[in-house]
Amino acid sequence: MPIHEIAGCIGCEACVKSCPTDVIQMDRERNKAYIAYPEDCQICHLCRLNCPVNAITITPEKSIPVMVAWR
Amino acid sequence: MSTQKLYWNRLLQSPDSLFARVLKIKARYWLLLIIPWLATLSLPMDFKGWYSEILSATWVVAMAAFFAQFALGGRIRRGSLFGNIDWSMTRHKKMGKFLGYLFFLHPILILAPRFLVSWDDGVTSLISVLTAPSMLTGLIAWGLMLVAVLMSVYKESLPLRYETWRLLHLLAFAGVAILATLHVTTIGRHGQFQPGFNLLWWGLLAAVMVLMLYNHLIKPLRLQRKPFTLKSVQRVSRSDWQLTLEKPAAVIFDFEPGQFVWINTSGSSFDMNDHPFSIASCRNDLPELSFIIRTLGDYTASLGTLKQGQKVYLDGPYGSMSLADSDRAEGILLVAGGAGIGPMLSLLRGLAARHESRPVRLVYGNRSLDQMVLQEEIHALEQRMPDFRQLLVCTDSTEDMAIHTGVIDRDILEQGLNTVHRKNWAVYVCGPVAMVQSVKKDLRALGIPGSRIHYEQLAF
Repeated sequence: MPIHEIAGCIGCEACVKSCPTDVIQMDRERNKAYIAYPEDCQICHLCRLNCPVNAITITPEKSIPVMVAWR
Repeated sequence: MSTQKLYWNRLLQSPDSLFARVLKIKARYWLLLIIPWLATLSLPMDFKGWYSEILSATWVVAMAAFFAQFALGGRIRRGSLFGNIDWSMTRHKKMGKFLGYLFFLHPILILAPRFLVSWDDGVTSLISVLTAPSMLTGLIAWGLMLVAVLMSVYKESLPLRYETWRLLHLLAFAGVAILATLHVTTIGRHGQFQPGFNLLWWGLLAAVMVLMLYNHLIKPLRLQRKPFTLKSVQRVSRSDWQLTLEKPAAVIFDFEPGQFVWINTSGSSFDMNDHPFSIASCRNDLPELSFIIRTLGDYTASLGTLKQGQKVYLDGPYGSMSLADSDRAEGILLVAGGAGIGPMLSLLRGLAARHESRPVRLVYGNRSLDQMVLQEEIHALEQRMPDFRQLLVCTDSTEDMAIHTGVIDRDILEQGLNTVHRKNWAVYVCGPVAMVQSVKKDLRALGIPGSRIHYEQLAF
């Protein structure tokens, strides 16, 4: 599972909006983001980089070097 | 028995080692604060980098310290961890200020790395945080906390009566406690990882609420049923009153010389208009209790208007001073500055009542000679007690050569401690904060160990 844990989510949806493959969804009842389709994660790190409170961790051994042209 | 064992036994059994006691309190206090953080270590959470981890640990300890603030300021009787009220109040104020700075930095330190990425990134993150619906409780708690801390730091310069300030202080921090708990339990990373962890914060909030309920509802109800009676109020010096109360026969009340009580003369035990005063009488004087009170603020200036026979509610006794602290001392030095004579008189009367044969000295300082209280009684004790002498200190110059002119300094303390065995003397100090601090410094310079200096500062 590349994207591994969301703990400390403030429900701002920044990660949901940033994920290109819709791995992360919002749990509307709890108002928290959760990992809905971990198998689709492309390890692009966009969710982690967009989270304002550093709530997301990505399994280190699965990580690939991040290349984000617009950042 | 080995030397090491002997040392520890002596340290633990030493009854006059206030230093050792305070150290124990300090150690227990910090241990209590790190318990929640230790509990987080059991959660198998991902490592988020040293910066995040250190911040996270800091917030968990700070939150525990915030809850402990209620116990520190909550008038808990002696015997428990928060029973040393002088230490508790000093810690409460210092920690309150520190926590104010720390929680002020809370959002700044969390968002700072985003601003290091780029200004735009920081601003976007800030907007995300401010607009996230779950953040509302945290934002209100943050703002309310800032206002409440500033109100405490600048308490003296606010146009508020002490009682009004106290009520606002209590309500504001009760609000902060509820909102901050909601914030930690909804946003906190440990609670999101393991919802069971939130029980810790809810439990602490419940404990704080129970303490508040006890202090402001149950305790006043109990006090209402056992009012003391005001026997007399009389002037005993240019600036001091002597207040004498009578304990009803049915009420069980005992105290150690040097302890203090909160006095409420408002007519209702629910009124927050109560004030701390040291008991000046000793146990033998019961059922009468007397207090020496200096005219310093609006309340003390109005003492003359109190009616004889009126009901007075007494919350206490509190304070860690005790004659037992000096049981093994070779001599006793009492140092009183102004209104600090109250507890010193109590100790002196207690010593006289048990026919103290060790040398006892009282260094009593005031601005002018007409502020010295109960001189007749003190002179009588000088005659009656085997080895008791009073040394008067006045800031204003006097013609009397026996009176030391100036403030209570090293010279006069040395006179009081004029013995080769001064290291084995016990010293009790009470007075304004600045005076207590300078006397403590001088005593240490004279070779009195910190463990033998017992003090009470006149500041709440």
